[in-house]
Amino acid sequence: MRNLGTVIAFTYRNRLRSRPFIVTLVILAILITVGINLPYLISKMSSNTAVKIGMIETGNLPKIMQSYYREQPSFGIQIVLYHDLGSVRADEKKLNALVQQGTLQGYLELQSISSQSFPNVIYKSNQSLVHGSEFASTLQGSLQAVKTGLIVKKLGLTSAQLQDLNTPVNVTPIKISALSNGSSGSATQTQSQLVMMTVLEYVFLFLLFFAITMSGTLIASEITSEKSSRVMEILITSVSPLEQMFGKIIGMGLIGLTQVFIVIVIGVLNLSLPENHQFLLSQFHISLQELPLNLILYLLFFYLTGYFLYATLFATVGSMVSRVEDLGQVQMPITFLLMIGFYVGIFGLQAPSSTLQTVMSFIPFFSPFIMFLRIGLTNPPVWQIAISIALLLATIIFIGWLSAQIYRTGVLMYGKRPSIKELRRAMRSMKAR
Amino acid sequence: MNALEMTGIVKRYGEFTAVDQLNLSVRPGEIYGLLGGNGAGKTTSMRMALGIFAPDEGKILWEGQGYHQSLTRKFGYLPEERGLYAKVRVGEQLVYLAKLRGMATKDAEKAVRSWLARFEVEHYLEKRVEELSKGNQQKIQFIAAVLHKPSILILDEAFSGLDPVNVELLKGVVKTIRDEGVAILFSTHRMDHVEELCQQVTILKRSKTIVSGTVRGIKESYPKDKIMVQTVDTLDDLATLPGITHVDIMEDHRYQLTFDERANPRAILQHALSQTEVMHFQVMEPTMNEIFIKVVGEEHA
Repeated sequence: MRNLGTVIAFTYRNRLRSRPFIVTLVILAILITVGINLPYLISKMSSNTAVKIGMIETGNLPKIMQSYYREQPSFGIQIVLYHDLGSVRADEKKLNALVQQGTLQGYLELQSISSQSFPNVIYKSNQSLVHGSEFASTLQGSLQAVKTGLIVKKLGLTSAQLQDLNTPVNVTPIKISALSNGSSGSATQTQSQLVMMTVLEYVFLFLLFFAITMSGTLIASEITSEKSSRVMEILITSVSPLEQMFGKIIGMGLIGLTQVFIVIVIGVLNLSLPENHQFLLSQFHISLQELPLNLILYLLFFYLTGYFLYATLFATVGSMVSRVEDLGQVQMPITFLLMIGFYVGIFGLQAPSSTLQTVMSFIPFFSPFIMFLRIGLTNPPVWQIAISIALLLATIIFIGWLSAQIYRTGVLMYGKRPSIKELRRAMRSMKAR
Repeated sequence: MNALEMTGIVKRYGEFTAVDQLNLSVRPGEIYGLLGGNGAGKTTSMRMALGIFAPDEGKILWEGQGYHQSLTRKFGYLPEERGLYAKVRVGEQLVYLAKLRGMATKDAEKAVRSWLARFEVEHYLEKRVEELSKGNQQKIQFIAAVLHKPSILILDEAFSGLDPVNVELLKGVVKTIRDEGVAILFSTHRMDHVEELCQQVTILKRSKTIVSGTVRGIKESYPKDKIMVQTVDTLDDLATLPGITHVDIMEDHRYQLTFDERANPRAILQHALSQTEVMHFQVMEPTMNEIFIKVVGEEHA
């Protein structure tokens, strides 16, 4: 194993300085920075300019609404009142012209309904307003509040009673968990932790999926191009196949970790900008300090084992073909396995306790995705975690051994992709020294 | 003690026998020619000599011992199909390959510089291999094979793709390495190189050894059947002499005669002298090229 370090260093350095690596990293950095800062920037832009909505001054209601929105600037709506011109048609014509000019975003018309105290509200604008869209629900919610206010005023409630009435009912889901025992001291998981876990699981699923896909295909294509450029002929006489293969896998794994590390640093830097800290983290009730340590250890474990298992498979298929063009075909089954793990995991975010998730968390090719999901979001028994990890490790050892056998044969076989039968025959005839 | 000794080697791929009963031994300071047509089993033999895989039958000894991992540091290999990292700088990959064969980084860097200087290509140190011409890639490939001072060097078609000047340059280096006591197993299709470099050869044909021995011995075992004559004026009636089977007339009154056992070289010379002045008369021993074509081509016909 004395050459392992040399192979790892060579793989790592070459990839680190390669143009694709640097370009990918720069793109990722830009995406993350934009993604994190965008919500704040949007909110800042939209909150400064309130949407102007016109109304014809008929009755008390338009005045009440105008003052309501003035007192509640967070809705971002400003009511502009216009004198009644006498006829509905003339009013409409005037307001339509203002909307066309862009002075107004739209205008409201009130239609009295005899059976109800509050009129029907019609919103007219030159944009189609989808029912349930953000603006529509803002409008509806605020008008509901105006209506409640009017009715309550008639009833003569005190301001304390009014405030009580307006306070929403609070539902707090609390997860009973063994995980948070150590860190937070209580046996329960708070709402904020649950949200944070879901976000973490989401990030983890993506991270694992993309890290494996990117590094895995790189490993496979590097091995194949070593074969097609025939450097393999020299390598195979100086390094044992085992060192060659695992050196490449570890080197590329370190590249993946470097990439993840840089991404996390960029993410944390952006999040720690004061405006983002307030805007994103507090809005989602996330506080990074609440992350249990053992969860981070599980995360590392499942990331590394998941990577290793799949990287070995990718290395194996890379050793079997002679041309990079043929790689896509042989990589397909592995990509399918990966995608199943990933998508079942994404579904599992909604229903982490389902039977599907429980079963999948034991299958080695999926357990890195699913078992970690269950640990984070539900409270699986320790024996289940232990069995899943044991199965995973046993599979890694077996696949690692098998891959090394195929690899040492595969790298010497040129020509068309060998069938399993041909491969087995070749493995027998090129048996280890 | 032989640096490399292969006895009774048999290698099969399923039904197909790739190498059948190969025997060869290379001493330190000797170049051993392994010859044969395409697909005769040379590459498989060389791979076994490098310990990439084991033979099905027979025994291979390296410096008197069976295979062990540290042998990889004593091997140098120039594969027939050239292989280097196209996108990695020359200096960097030479150092990498040398380190894989057990050299320390510092020593490797120093050795790379001195070898590049020896081949007059120092300025390629920071170039990517893909930017180099084929001949220069070949030099780099050769350096990769010898950089770490191997004691067993396997050269598969070392001089192909080089211009005559560079062939001479590399040939000189190969001879120097041989004189330093390295055992070299050498394959080529250029029989003139075999005559110049090799002491012993084995010719393979369809997995089997058909000729084996010293170059001298092999040549002597084949009858002399050619005469080269050069005269001042035209020669007539050569074909009418007894035993002459073929006459090749070349430029400048040169004639190559093929003869059998009925012929008398002395009579032929006299025949020539009776007509004109003779500038050159030689009874030639067969070249390795002729022997190779004869033995390898025999059953093809």
